[in-house]
Amino acid sequence: MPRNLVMGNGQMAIALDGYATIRDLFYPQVGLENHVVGHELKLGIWVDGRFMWLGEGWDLVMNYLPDTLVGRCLATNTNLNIQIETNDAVHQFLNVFMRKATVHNTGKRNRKIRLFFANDFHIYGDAVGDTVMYQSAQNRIIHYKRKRYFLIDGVTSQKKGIYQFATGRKESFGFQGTWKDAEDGVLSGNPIAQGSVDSVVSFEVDVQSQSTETIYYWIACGKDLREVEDLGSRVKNSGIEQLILETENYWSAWINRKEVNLNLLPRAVAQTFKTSLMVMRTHVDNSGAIIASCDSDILQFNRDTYSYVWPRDGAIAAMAFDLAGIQEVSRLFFQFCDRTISDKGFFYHKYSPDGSVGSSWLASVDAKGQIQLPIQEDETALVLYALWNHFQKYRDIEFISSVYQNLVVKASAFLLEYIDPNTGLPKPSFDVWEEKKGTFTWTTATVCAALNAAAGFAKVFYDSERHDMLSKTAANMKRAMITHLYNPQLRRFMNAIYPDGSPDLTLDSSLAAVFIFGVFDADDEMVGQTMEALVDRLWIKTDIGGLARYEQDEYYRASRDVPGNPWFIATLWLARWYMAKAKSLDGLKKGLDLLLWVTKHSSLSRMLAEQINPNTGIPISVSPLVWSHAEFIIAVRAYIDKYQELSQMAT
Amino acid sequence: MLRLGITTEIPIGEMKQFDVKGHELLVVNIDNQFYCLNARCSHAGAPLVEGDLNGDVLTCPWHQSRFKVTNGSVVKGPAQKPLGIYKIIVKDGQLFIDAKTP
Repeated sequence: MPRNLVMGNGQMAIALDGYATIRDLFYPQVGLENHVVGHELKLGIWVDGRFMWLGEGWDLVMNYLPDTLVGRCLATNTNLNIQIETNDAVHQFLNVFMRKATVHNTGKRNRKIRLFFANDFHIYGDAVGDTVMYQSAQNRIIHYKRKRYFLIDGVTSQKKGIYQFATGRKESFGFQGTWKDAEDGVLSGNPIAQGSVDSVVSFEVDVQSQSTETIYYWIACGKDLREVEDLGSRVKNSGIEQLILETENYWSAWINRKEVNLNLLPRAVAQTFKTSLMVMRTHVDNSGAIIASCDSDILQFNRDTYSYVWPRDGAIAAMAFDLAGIQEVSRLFFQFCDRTISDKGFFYHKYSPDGSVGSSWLASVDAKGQIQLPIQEDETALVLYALWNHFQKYRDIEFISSVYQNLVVKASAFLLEYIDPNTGLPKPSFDVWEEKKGTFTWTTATVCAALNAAAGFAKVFYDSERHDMLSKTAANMKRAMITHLYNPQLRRFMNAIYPDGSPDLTLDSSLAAVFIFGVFDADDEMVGQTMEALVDRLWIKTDIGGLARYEQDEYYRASRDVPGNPWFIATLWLARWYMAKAKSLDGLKKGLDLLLWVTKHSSLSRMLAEQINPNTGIPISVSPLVWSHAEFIIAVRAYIDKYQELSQMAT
Repeated sequence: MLRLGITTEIPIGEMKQFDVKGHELLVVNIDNQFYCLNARCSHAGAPLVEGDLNGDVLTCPWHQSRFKVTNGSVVKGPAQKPLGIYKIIVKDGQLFIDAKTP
């Protein structure tokens, strides 16, 4: 199930599914330790002798309070005559998740109502050796293992604390968990359990007919008992109302920077722009790691997640942050890159948020036993390209100076070295989709752009010899692209050349790289022919529409009637081409239509998945995906810039 | 006078935010009468342009305070202070406010 709401503060991140159930909880680093890993911290209700968890049978509407990372879930059950509205948030600097649950008794008589909060932690990502205990003096629950503590507490608007509690075993010896015990509306009061354990707490309120009462529940996170107890006390003293107000105002200030004139946009596009930036921020650890997605449901398919830093995805996200004026976040990412780049000047496939090399399927030896670099070269190139874009916008020479030798010089030296002398193109590496090895047009375009970026830096630092070498090599590589990667018979760029010299003629949306990184102009005939071919073969001819990633894409394939599922990033590259070649405000409309297409297929809370079903439009693979959100930001910024340019020309 | 925009940008029953010299202003069209108010809720600073407009009552998107658009007064809390209002001038289909008022 996709994640409908995500929230965080750079140390802690939480993701909720469509039933307002917490499915992911990262602490103390975003993306590193998931203490829930797709299990459920869910909300239930007992009324008139009946018990229900939020889920089937409920009508749920979930979104964010505008301009904030405070969630709102409106859950209605007409059979129970109950409506529950929750506001969910992670405080902007306190490591606490807060839930304000307002229960509306829409029935005709006064009722006693209990809310249940199930806490199914898997501390450090597994359910081995956890302890959950009840602290009777304080009437609260603590889950812990080693250096991770989670304190559960709450209070009602009628000034009562936890009404009942239960701790117990789960997932072993036939125990389903205490959440099952809750379903009779009564909790056992067992004060401690260890091993594979969970807990449930309940709150009881008397709710008048046609009236509301509120339950405040929170999870405080710490590294030891004292830290979590201190935080729990602070939360109790401040009160959830105050802390949620602080969080609302923080995000409102964070997002309203006036860098971009959003008044030029349809409201849905402006809303998605803002939410995209905030959703992206929840995926950035304060160390600078930008993870691809916090959605751990992908675990069901390959026993691994998207909670890694792909330098490519991170670089594109950093460009998006920069275009929105959020340079403090992009800088964190570049510092992360400065710490993690290999001694040889390239980036590995992906990284854990602590900077260690991540799990990988890129082999260091090919099928013939030949040694190969287990990398995607575009990941190195795009970090350089993003850094140059950052510098061009902010001119922060002192910051660039701090990363110039280790990041810029080292990476550009690698790019210079990793060139086939016979063709002038990059040597083979794995493609952007991490499936094939060869010399790809996407990769070549990114390397060419990165060489130009590095040349720009060399000029700034008066590194003349290096500047000349980089510029000359970039120019040669551009010519080599025309010679070796453009096919005059097909009148378009090819996807790749393989090490044996054979061409890859697959129509792949990543061919848009030839113009999106500035190597060729969008008006160039070769670009136009290539993009037209992509539209012709990859546009999804269903009611849903959108651009497929490439022909015969098997990744989560939903239909044999179309070339592949529509991807947001592919569709947004097409939008940028329409915008880049527009010569009038009317000509911009095709690009704007695709921005609106994206908003139409986002969730109500403006979440963008990796791909969507070509027939139903439902999200496929992870949701949210940072890359999708980042490409949306970049495309919106391109639209605004072009709109302003064309408006000035018109006057 | 400061020009905000043109009247056709804001159809009847709709509203639009304008940022003028560091001030965030909300212009609301009620039956072709235009009103200009502070764009942020007087309670906690929510963006009112994202709120619900029902007749001449505007509901805040965060905590559901309600304000009367015609004079900025509070219809229902938690907000306690009224919204600041500004004199708006419509001339030749264009919207202006007095430069001194915000």
